[in-house]
Amino acid sequence: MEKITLEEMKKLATLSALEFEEAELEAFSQEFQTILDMVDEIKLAKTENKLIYKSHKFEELREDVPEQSMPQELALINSPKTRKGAFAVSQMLEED
Amino acid sequence: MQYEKYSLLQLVDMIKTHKVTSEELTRYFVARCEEKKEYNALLEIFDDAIENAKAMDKKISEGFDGKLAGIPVIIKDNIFYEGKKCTCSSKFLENYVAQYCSTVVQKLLEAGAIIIARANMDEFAMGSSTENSAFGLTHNALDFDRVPGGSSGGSATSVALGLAPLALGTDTGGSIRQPSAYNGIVGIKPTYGRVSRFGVVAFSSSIEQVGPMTKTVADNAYALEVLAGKCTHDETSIAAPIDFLQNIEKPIKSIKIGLVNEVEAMLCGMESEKAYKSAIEVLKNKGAEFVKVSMPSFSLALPCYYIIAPAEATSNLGRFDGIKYTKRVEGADINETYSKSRSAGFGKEVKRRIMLGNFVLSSGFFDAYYIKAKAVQQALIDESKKIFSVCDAILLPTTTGTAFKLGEKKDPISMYKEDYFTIPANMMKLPAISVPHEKGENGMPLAVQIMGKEFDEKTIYQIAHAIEGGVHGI
Repeated sequence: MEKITLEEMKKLATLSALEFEEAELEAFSQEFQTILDMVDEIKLAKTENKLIYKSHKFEELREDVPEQSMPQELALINSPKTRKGAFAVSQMLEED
Repeated sequence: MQYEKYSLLQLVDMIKTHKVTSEELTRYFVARCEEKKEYNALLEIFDDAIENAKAMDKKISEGFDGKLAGIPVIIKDNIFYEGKKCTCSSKFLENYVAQYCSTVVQKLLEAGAIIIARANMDEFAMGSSTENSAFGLTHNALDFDRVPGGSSGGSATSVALGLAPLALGTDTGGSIRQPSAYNGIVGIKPTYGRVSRFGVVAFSSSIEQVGPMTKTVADNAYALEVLAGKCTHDETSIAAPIDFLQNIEKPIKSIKIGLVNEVEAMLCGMESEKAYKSAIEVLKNKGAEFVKVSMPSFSLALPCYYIIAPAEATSNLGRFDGIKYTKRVEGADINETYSKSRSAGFGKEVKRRIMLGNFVLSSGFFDAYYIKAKAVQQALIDESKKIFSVCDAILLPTTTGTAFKLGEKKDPISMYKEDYFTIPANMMKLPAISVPHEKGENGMPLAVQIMGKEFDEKTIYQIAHAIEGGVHGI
């Protein structure tokens, strides 16, 4: 594995929806590099590089029977902000 | 009466024969939980435990005879118990309240258990020492200056301290077995699909399992009988015979146990070699046969795990956005709200694994890492099948040595290597049990691990029972 750059780390942080201070990210990059060097051992494996996807064996699926869903009030109890029985978020669309 | 000296099965019998009430037992263990608070094994002692015990006594007097009727139990804090907090030891979920019961909790309650507390853990089950909890580290039950292991460190310390005869843990890469080894107790990672994951906060969904942690092997088998089974809310759960106690007392004569060449080469000179060699002698004297086997991909299980588990974790933790639940830190727009909330909520190790997961799943690296890791996982499964065509179980060490000192392992790699011997069972989806055996030079417990065929917990309990007799908590 080539050395991961600070720019790549910044991109990765954005993709991960995480924020770091510049100095924090630099220290983090060094640790990250040692982890990547460790997982790089996987490349020594003499397996073919293709996905042999054997999914977990599913048994018969249950009948699709409608059941009572969680009451709205209960579904909202852990939300930090609610409005009129819904999860409240900041405005996403511009007004006309 | 010192109830912590009794096994789970003995306490079950004492309740059944009316030698003790659930209320007496619950009051005793709750008081013990309060007394041992300095270990920080628990995040909360439930204030309704005694009331629930009183109600259970009434049910028992009316003829209820559930397998865990009146028995105090502790759960790891990533398992939902309706109406109770479930924080995963994360600041992000500090005030999260479970809206329903997980299947395992439902099964405990139906069996008559009294859930008395929730146990500390590494944040989102990511860690091997319980030093990654946002609510402070947990101490080892046998040495206050040492780690309890992790991520189910709170559960392990609880059982070893005698805060309850049974605790639940979860195991994604060794999180039940390694802390069990460090605290001198018994812990199993069941076959993938054996126990429902419904209502257990997801970390790496394709490999993790819930399992019991107890003082004895028989207690463990008994508890797993309560937890196991097909669940309509978890389609990866599988119906298979629940027969864990069936052979437990039977002699192990002519059982074939595999010794992995690659493991023996690695183990040479390690502290755990003593426990491993001694267990071979014990089993040999009891008539077990040994077969030398090879698992060429064994050492690749660790890097394989550190690709697959973070890849799944980054996806599972995507739901923590500060909107539907968890803490919210408002930003200028919705994306900033997500990132500010996540940055404030997640701890360092969790952030590290999210980043790693996104890296191995990113388009330029997906084939080289994720696809390769899945191929290696399949190679491991194929190798295990070959081994199990010539033997009934595999003997392994659980850890490299005894519990290390708090703060001793500062870099992530040395911490990750803690799970070198436990990760393969998760990658191969096989059952593996850790049983205490021998002590290190520092007097701390060592342990060995027995890995079995898919859904053959029965045989590994039988072998573990034959090894038992070493160190047993305190």
